[in-house]
Amino acid sequence: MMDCSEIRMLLSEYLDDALDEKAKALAEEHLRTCAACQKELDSLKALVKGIGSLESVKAPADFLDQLHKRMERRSKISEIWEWLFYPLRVKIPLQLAGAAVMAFLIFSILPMQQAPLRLYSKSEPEKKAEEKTYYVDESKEMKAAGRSEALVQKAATHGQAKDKETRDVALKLKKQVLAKAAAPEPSAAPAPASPAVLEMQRQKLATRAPTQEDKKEDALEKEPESFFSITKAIEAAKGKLLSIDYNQQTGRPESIQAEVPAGQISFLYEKLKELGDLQVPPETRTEKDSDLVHVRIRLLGLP
Amino acid sequence: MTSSGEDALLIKAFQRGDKRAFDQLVIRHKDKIFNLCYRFLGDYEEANDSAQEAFVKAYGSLKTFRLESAFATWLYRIAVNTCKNKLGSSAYKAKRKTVSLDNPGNNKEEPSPMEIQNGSPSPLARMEEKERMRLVQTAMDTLPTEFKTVVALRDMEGLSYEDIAEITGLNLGTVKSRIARARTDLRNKLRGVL
Repeated sequence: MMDCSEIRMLLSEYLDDALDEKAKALAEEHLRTCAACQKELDSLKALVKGIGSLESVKAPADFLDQLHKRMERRSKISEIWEWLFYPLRVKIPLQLAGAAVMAFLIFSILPMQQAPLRLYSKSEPEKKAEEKTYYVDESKEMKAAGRSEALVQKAATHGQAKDKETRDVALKLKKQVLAKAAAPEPSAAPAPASPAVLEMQRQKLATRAPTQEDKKEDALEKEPESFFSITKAIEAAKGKLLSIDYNQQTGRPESIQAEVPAGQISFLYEKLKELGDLQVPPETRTEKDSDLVHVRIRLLGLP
Repeated sequence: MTSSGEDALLIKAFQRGDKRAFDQLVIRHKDKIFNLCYRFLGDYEEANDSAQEAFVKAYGSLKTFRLESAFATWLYRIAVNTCKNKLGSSAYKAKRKTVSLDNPGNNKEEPSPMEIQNGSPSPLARMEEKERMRLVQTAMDTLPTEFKTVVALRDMEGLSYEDIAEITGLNLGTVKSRIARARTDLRNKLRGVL
């Protein structure tokens, strides 16, 4: 036997004759004896009748005409749409060609725009470092001079070890090394240049005021032995001299940059220690022995 | 021939290229669709717009209609979805206002579709009946859309639970429970009126 709350949940379906036979029989049995639920059913019947008696609202008389006009407007929009995209056999190749041209332009222009950006992204210290760095040319002048530091020249671009981790070491040259530098041995003097070259140099000096270039060359002349010793140490460690950096104000050399196989770093340090006090950062090497590492030797204690 | 049989013939004619067959389908179903839209939206102009939109959509899809379901059921489904979309649109929400049943249309030459023609000789009785219908419609308007849909299809259009399930995409049990819930809600709101 169902209670009133259960029966009332079935009244809506009972009204629509949507209950199965068993549920319908149970509902009818309850309704015969329960006046409250019967009243509830009557109330629902009145409601459904009331809703059903709401007058139908008819469409306007010109509904079909309005519909035709609306469809006509839509049709025109569709025609424009189709005109834009059809016939496909013509439009698709045209659109593909357009896309290809756009892609070509994008890939052509993009690198052109990226290049200046890369230049401007360089920090100010980086730019200054580039300006004051003089790179060794390993060509015929080196052989002619017989000394690796004989010729330095300004280079527009940086060396190949730029992106590698740099070993920054400081070398305070011993007094005796500096003394040698102050009084160079005759054998260490630069090889005599040809008369034509000497004449050219003389003319250059005569026609222009001393410049930063001259200052650097003078400085190099004053400390040839110390550089020679450092260069020898680099060469002994199977390394390569990259550049000599000068102070722009004083024109004095500040540091030497070189590339050395990672396996020879310790050997280079030993050689440099023979020339003076060497301050070396803690070694945390990750490169293979054959990898070239960048070493910057800052020179301390130069007069 | 049954009503759905006539619909099927017209649909086939349309699918063969007879565009006028669609006009016949519109004439046959426009009032039911319009009434449903009106019950949904409670606004004559909005109902007109939605009913027309429903037919435009039907026109676009009729070429691929497979006659597996009754055309009327299919059309109701389109109309219900169109009205739901309109109810959800911000433009409609902004415009929504209380509906007057006395003068829902703008066509003054035509007799008002809401004119109650119950044959009552008494002007007072007619006025009372109008007021009663207004209150029923107002109560309907307050129902949540999901309840309004099912009760309108059942108690106004007289559709079966199965058809309502097909139109709304709900399962049969949900249709039954929603109709019961909507009726209970309406009865509570209209106590003393009906």
